[in-house]
Amino acid sequence: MEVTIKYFSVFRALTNRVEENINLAAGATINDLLEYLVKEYGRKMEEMLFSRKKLKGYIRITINGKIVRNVQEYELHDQDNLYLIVALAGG
Amino acid sequence: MALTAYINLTTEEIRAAESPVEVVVKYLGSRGYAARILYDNVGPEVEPLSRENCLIFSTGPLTGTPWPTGARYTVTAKSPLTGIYGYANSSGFFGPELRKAGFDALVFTGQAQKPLILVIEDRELELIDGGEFWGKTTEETERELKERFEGCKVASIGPAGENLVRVASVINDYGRAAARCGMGAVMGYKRLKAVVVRASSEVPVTPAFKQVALEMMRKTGRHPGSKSLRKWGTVHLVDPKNISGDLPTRNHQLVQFEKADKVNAVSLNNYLEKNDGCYSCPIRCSRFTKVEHGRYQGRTEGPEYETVNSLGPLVANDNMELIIYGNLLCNRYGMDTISTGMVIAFAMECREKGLLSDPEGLLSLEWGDEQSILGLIERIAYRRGLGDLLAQGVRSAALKLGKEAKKYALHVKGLEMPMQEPRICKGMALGHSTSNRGADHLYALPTIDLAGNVEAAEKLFPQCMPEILEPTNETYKPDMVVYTEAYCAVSDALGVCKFSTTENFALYPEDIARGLSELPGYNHSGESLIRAGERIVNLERMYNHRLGLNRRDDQLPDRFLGEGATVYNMDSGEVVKEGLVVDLEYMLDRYYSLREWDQQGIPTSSKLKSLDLADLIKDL
Repeated sequence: MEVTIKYFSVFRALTNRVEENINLAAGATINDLLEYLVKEYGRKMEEMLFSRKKLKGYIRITINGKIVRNVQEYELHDQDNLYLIVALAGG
Repeated sequence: MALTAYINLTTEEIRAAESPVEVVVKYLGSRGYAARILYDNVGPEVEPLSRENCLIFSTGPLTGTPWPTGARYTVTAKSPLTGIYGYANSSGFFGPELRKAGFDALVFTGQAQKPLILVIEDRELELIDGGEFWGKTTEETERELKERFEGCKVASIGPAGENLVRVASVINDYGRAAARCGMGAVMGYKRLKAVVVRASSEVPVTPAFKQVALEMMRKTGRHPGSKSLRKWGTVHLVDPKNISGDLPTRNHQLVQFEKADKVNAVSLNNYLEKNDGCYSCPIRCSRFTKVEHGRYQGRTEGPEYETVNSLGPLVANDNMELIIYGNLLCNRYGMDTISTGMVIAFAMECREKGLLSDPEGLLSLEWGDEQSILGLIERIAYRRGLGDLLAQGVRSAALKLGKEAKKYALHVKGLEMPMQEPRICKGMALGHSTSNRGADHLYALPTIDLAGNVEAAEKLFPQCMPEILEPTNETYKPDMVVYTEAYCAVSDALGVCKFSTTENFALYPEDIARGLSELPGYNHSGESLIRAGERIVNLERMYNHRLGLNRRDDQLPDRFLGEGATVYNMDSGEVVKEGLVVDLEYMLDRYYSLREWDQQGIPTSSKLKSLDLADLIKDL
C-alpha cells in the first residue's frame, strides 16, 4: 500500500521535502512508518521523534485530517494522508 | 442590571449607575466595553499619567458565572509605557467577585491627595485611607486587607506601581497579574493602592444557561490540549520550543538555549507544591511552586512559561530556583515579568556591546549573572541606580543610551516582545506587529500552526491548507491572525480564558454563542460573535489612529527582519535551518487587505460603517 506524508517545520528541514509517497506492507502501523523514516533519514530523525523508543509527547501525527492518539499502534491503510508536526502552542 | 461606577479620586465622589446596556452588549463587555469608555473619555491630548486618564476595571458577561474559565477581568487605560491604547487582563478570583458584586466596570479618574483603597461590599462602594499600606508589597497588602475584610478579594499595586515604574502590574490573588502596558503605574499615579471586593450573592443565570455551561465545562476539560496544560502547565512548551528554535535566548540573539533541560517542565516539577485552577476552570493549568532551602526560599503561583523564558533563557539564566524567586519578587513588587525580563536582557546586551555599565559598580550585567538579575528587579521596582533608567521600558531607555542601543530594544509600539521567536513563528510575528497594545502574544494568540491543530485549520481555513500549518510559511498567516484577533477580543470581552478558546479551540465561537444567548440582551451566532470581536479590534485601532499611528508602527524590530536566525540540532550541533527572517511587508499587505483597511493600516469608512462604528468616521 501507499501512504502520503506531509512534513512540517523541523521535519521539512530534516527531509528536505514538503511531502512524499511511501510504500509499506499491508497492515503496517504508524510505528512501521516511523521506523522507515528513521532508516531513511538517520539519527537526526530518530532524535527528533523518539525518547527511549517512545514517541515524544509534542510530536503530532494526523491521518486524513484527524489527530491520532495511541499513535504507534495505529494501523495504516492504502492512500492515507498523514501530517507530521512538532506541536508547540502559545505561552 | 449590572452597574458602572465612576470614582473621582480627586474629589472622592462616587457615582454608581446602571450600565448603558446597548453599549455593553454592542462591545460584549470587559475589554470591549472599557475600550469604548476610553475612546469616549480619554482623547489624544490626555497624558497617561494625568488626572484626566481613566483607569477602568471591567468584567464580562461570563465572568463569575459557571461558564468554563469565566474568571477574567480587564484593566484599561492609556498606557504610560507605550503612550497608546493599553490594557491588561488577569484571572484568579478577583474578577468573578467584582462581577458577583454587580459591576460591569469601575471607572477611576482624578488623583487622590493621599493613598486610598476602594472597598466594595456588594453594591456599596467606599473609599478608605490607604496610607498605612503605601510602600507595602502586594503580598503584604493583600494579606492584611484579607484579615480586615474576611472573605474579600483584592487587586493591588506594589512599590513598582507606587514609583510609577512603566512596567508595573496590578496583582490579584497574590500571584495573578494584569501585567502588561504599565496599568500598575496608572494606579500608582492615581494613588489607588487597592480595590477590595466582597459579594454575598452569585451572578444570576438561568437553568438553561447552566445546562449549556455544564456541557461546555465537560467539553473544555476533556480536550487533549486542556489535559496537557493540566498535566504540565504552560512550561511544557520549553522543550518543543527549544527544538524548533522558538525559545528566545540572550535577548533574541539566539533562538535556542543550550541548558533548556534545566528550565523545562521536568525541572519545575522538582519544586511543584500543587496544581490548581482559577474560578470555574476545568483546565487547571496553574502550578504553585516552593523553594524550601537555600537563598531563594519562597512560595509562588507560577512561574508560567513566559516568565520561565524571560527570567531564564532570555537572560541566559539556567537556575530554576532563581526564576521562581524572580517571579515571586516581580509579583510582590507588582511588575510585569515579560517586560522586566526584557529590560534586563536589554541591559545585558547593551553591556555586552559596551554601551552600558552599572553606575554603582555593583552589578556585572553579564549574561546569566544572578546578582544582576535580582539586583535589577529590585532597582527597577524602587527606581534606584540603573533601575531608574530601565523602569521606563526598553524604548525609552534606548532613547537615552543613543542610536546604537535602539537595535537591542526589542519592542513593538513601546511594549516589550513576549517570549516567541518571530523568525520561527511567523503568525506570532504578525500578531506581535499588528496588536493594538504593542508586542503581544495574547492579542491574537495565533497557535493553530504551532499546536498542529489540524482540526481547527481544516474547519476554519480549508482554503489555506496545508501551508497554514507550517509555522515558518508566511502565506496564510494573515488569514489566521485576522480571525484569532477577533476571537481573542471576544474571549477578553466576555471574561473567559483563551486557553479554552484560541489556544486549542476546545470551544469554538458557536459553542460560546449558545451559552451567551441565554443571557439577557445577548443573542449571537458564532459568526456574529466574531464580528463583534472585529468591532473591538477596529475600535482599538481607531484609538491609536487618532494618536497618529499607522503602518510604520506595525513594524517589528530590525533584528527579526534582517538578522538571520539559525536553528541547530541541540544534540549533534548540526545546522537544521539558517537565515530565517520575517517577510513582514508581505504579511502586512495581506493582513490590511483582509481587514478591509487601507495599506497604511487605517480602517476605511466603509469598514467602520459595516461594523456599526459609523460614529468613528469623523476621526479618520
